[in-house]
Amino acid sequence: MTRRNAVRLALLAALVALGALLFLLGKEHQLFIDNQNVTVSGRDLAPIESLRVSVAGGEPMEFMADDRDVTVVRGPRASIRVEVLDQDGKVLKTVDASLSFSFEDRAMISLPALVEGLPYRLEPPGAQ
Amino acid sequence: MNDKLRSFIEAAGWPRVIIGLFLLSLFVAAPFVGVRVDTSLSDTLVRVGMNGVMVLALVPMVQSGCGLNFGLPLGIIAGLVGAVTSIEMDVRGLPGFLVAMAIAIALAVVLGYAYGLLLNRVKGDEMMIATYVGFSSVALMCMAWLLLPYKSPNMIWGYGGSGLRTTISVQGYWLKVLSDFMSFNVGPYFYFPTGMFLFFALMCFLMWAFFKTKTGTAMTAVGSNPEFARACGIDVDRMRIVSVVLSTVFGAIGILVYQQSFGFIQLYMGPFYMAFPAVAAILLGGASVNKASLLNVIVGTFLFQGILTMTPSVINSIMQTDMSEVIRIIVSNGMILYALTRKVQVKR
Amino acid sequence: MKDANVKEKIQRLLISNAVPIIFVLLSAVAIPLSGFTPQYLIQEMMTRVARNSFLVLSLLIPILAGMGLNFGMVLGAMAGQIGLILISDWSVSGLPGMLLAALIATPIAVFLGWICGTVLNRAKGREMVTSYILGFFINGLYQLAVLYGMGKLIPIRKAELVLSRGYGIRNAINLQGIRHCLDDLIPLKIGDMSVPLATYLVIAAFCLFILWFQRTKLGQDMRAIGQDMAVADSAGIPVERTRIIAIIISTVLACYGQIIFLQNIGTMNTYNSHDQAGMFAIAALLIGGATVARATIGNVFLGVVLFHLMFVVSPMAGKQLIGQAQLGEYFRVFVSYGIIAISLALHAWKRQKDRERARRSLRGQAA
Repeated sequence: MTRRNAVRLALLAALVALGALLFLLGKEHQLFIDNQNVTVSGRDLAPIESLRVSVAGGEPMEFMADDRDVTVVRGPRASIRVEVLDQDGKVLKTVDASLSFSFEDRAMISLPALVEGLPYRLEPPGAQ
Repeated sequence: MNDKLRSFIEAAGWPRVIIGLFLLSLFVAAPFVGVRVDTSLSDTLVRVGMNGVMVLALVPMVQSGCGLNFGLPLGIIAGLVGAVTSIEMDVRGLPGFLVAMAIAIALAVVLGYAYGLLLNRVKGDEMMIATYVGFSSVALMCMAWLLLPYKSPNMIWGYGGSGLRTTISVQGYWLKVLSDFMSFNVGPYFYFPTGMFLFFALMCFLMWAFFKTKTGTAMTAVGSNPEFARACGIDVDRMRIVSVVLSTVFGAIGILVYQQSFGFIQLYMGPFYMAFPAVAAILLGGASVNKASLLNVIVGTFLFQGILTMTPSVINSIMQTDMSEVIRIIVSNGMILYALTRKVQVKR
Repeated sequence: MKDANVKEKIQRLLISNAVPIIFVLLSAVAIPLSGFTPQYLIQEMMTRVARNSFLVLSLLIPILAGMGLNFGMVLGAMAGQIGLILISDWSVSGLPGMLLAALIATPIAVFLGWICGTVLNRAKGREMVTSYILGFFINGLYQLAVLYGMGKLIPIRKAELVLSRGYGIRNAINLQGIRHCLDDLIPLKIGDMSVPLATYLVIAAFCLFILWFQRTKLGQDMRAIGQDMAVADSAGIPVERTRIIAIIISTVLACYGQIIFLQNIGTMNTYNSHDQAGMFAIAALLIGGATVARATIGNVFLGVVLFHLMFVVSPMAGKQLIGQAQLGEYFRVFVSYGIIAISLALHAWKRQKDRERARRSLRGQAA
């Protein structure tokens, strides 16, 4: 392989890598947020009565028991803040976490699991 | 036998042979995919008649060295004004058609003269400028159609609007006045518009006769070798103007023939792209940018309209989709591209 | 004697700048007629300059190389649109999405530019008409790919991009994901008006690139070819190859220009957006005073401002004048094409006069 071809190949590889990086940075993911019954690490968790969730500093979303909602997140990382509320709306507990994604279209997290500090990634709905 | 075949192919040029074979294969394939051959043949012939005169209109300018007349819309506009005015005057039948023709030809002479003067100032770049002169005049007429004081209720926008409609039907006036003349049917699917073909033949004859006259031969001389023509005492500029006028006049007649068969007058942006199919047809017939004969016109129009009729219907039947528009674009522009990229002798 | 010289100079100045002068006069009449406020017009112009300049700048290099107006820039626009369709399908948004679209579209643009350059090399002396027709031809292939191939042969995942029949891309694609992603990258507000600073920086960088390019060997080669192909050839410049490179560069730049254009508008007309890209860019360049043989960066910006001023103002002016906005619309179309016709005619007329003068001097007569 001549030196010129090697340089060209390296350049091509760099461009492909750049493309992959851009794809990762710009990919939009549909994030499903679930507040339902879930079994994780051998424990059965019940839905939480009242929550407020804010993803990546966006508009807060209200959750009741058995709710599931969806939002759009872009890029490989997103912060999430979950506040457990009592019936008057006062914050009982705050959990901050960081979500990471690669190239998937959809992801789902379980709020009960996240609040308990357990692994919270679930299989998202919908066949690909 | 082989020699004869080879010389025929060389004389005809590979593109024409290939396209001809392609067209033949489409006709052969047609019955197998549910397309009626007689309908297709009839459609093709009708379209040849409809478009033929406009393709013929390109010949004078090519012969005189003005290139392909992309400014054909100018002549078409003259024809449209003639048609619309004739309907405004409420003349029906063949007289209506003749009135339209008279007005159109008069206007075409004037427009052609001005156009010719312009082209004489821009020798060498005629084609590009022709295209944009054609476009601008269509756009100008768009404004005119809105403003001109036509009143006939068949043509005005409804509900007390002013300005002409986009499409005006000629039914009741001179619809198929040429086509139906001595036409005949073979079975329910084959219709032969004899009158229109007779008219087309007449136009071809007039063109042929013209080029046999002294003016006609002078025009051809100007196109093939302007310096030599000038040395012979021919007024090059005058010949070019005559060719442009002739081209514009035939364009005007051509659109009238088209409309009487099609049934509608298309105003506004209708004529915008009408030069391109004509150019594609004549190039397909073997003409080049500076040489065109009647044979080119007839063969080219037949091949082009044949492809345009057959390809979509056959492919649509095979693939169960309507790709006609896209195929039309690819084929006609591909033809023009091929002709433009052929090596030509010294042009200027 | 001196008076005659001054008069001649003024005459020549007027003729060589005839087109922009006509336009300024037209605008001076139409602007007050339309009733738009200066503030509105300035904001519109700022947006439009940011949106369209890149496309017009892409026309400069083929003119440098003597290839006339590159009507084949629509090929670049189509490549850009294919890139955008793909990133919309993959849901990649924001600035990374736009950059990814540009990255994907580049090889397509290079390929199409190469085709265009090769075809134009076979049609020397008729480049403009040929590139014009080539634009239509490739448009047909583009429609074949996008209207029929996508969804069937090229897998498209998002159902909302696809027509109801199951394949083929829809007529209008929402580019909400990348909308204004470059414009708003560096937010700047002057009073009430928002300024797309990042886009201007990109355009400025591109202008610097063009200035630098004209000084490189490749740029000088192109200028030599533009002045006289035969002389350049005998000087050892690879004429055919350089011409193709000029067209490839122009096509790739048109690709990026179209992406910038669409990120500003936010919606893509799959089958129409690129048509107008070429037409308006060329009209704008000619209005700015450029000719087929010579175009500067100044022509680009002057032309974009004048053209778009007329574009914005004529419908309303037409409405006030005659009472029909439709008239203004047609007037706008008429002026766009008419300008190109007049510019081409003036240029060709000048060239013919030069040729006749040269011929007469060869014959030994006074010019």
